[in-house]
Amino acid sequence: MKFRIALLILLLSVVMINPMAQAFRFSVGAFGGLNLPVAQEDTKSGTVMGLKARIPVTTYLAVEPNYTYLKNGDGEAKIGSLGDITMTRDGGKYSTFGIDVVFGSVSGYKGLNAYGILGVASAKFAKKGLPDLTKGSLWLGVGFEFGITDYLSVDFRGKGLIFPYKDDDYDKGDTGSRKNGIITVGLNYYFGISEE
Amino acid sequence: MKKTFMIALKIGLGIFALLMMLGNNCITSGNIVVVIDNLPDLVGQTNTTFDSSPVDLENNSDWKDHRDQLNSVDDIGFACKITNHESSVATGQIWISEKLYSSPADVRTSAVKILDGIAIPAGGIRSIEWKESADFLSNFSEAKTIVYSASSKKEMFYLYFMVAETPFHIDVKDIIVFLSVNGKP
Repeated sequence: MKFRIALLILLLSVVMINPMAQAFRFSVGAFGGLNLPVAQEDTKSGTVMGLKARIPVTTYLAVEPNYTYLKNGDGEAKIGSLGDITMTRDGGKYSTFGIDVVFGSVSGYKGLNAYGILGVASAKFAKKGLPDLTKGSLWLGVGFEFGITDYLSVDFRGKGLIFPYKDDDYDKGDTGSRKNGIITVGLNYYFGISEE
Repeated sequence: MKKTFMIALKIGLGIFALLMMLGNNCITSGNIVVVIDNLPDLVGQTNTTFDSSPVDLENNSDWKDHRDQLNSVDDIGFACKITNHESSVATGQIWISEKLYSSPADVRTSAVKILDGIAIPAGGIRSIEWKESADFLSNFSEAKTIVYSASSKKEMFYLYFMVAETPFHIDVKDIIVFLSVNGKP
């Protein structure tokens, strides 16, 4: 419910902006990089990859529908009673569909651009042997984009995923979360009007 | 630019408010792995000997460090070495309960089967590691409730190692239980 309210607020914010304020121009892109679980002993660092589209709604604001796949590395534990041998466990993986709001230099024209990122997503966490968890999640981060031409750019991003969940079987428990940081490199192609 | 900043600020404040609604605990929580080893070896033989393995979380320092700030048990795993003394292949199982049961029949009636389908060769040994135990995991939701309710009351639960077929004769060594719990790291 909370996730739906957040999504609604986000969508309304975007719809209320005059779409004619910016000559229509959009991009599609792919990205990949490093996935760093935060404070999770049952996983290790892994990989991330995804697809995104950018639709600028003003010179300084854009929305980005996106799909992101994060694979955690296997968790490890040392077993003292067996001579400190190490055993591992599947670290799990996330599939997220979401919309990011990107604010800053978002036009994607030639040159260096920087922006902030705030987003919501529906994220599914799957781990071998356990029931899947699907929850509303949050993304936040920053990005730097270098436009090689007016149509082609490379971006570097640092983002954080907050995946909150509550165990409804345990009334004493509070809402906890899993958190992952990602560092990605992406390639984007822009369609629409050139600056020149 | 000013208008954009204001919109971004409002969205940012909205997300911040959402985080606050979820609670401070949502931001500060993490996952801890609790390894319970040094459990006694077991013997299981139809109608002759049937041991349970009591797991007392009170004896585990990792659990004690975090038990007051736990949100959930997110994963249960096992490692063990099972020897099958029968001349036919055995299908190993692990059951869990909050109460102590003393016979295979009582366990099958009242406990929760958490691992099933571990094929142990006739007269042979099968070792299961933490990662592999997930291949046989079932009824996780019920099992975690047993671990949890135990933690809120007497911090103890019981494990039983059985075989689907009868008669059976097994012994189980190097038993380790892994819990992944979410709470204050």
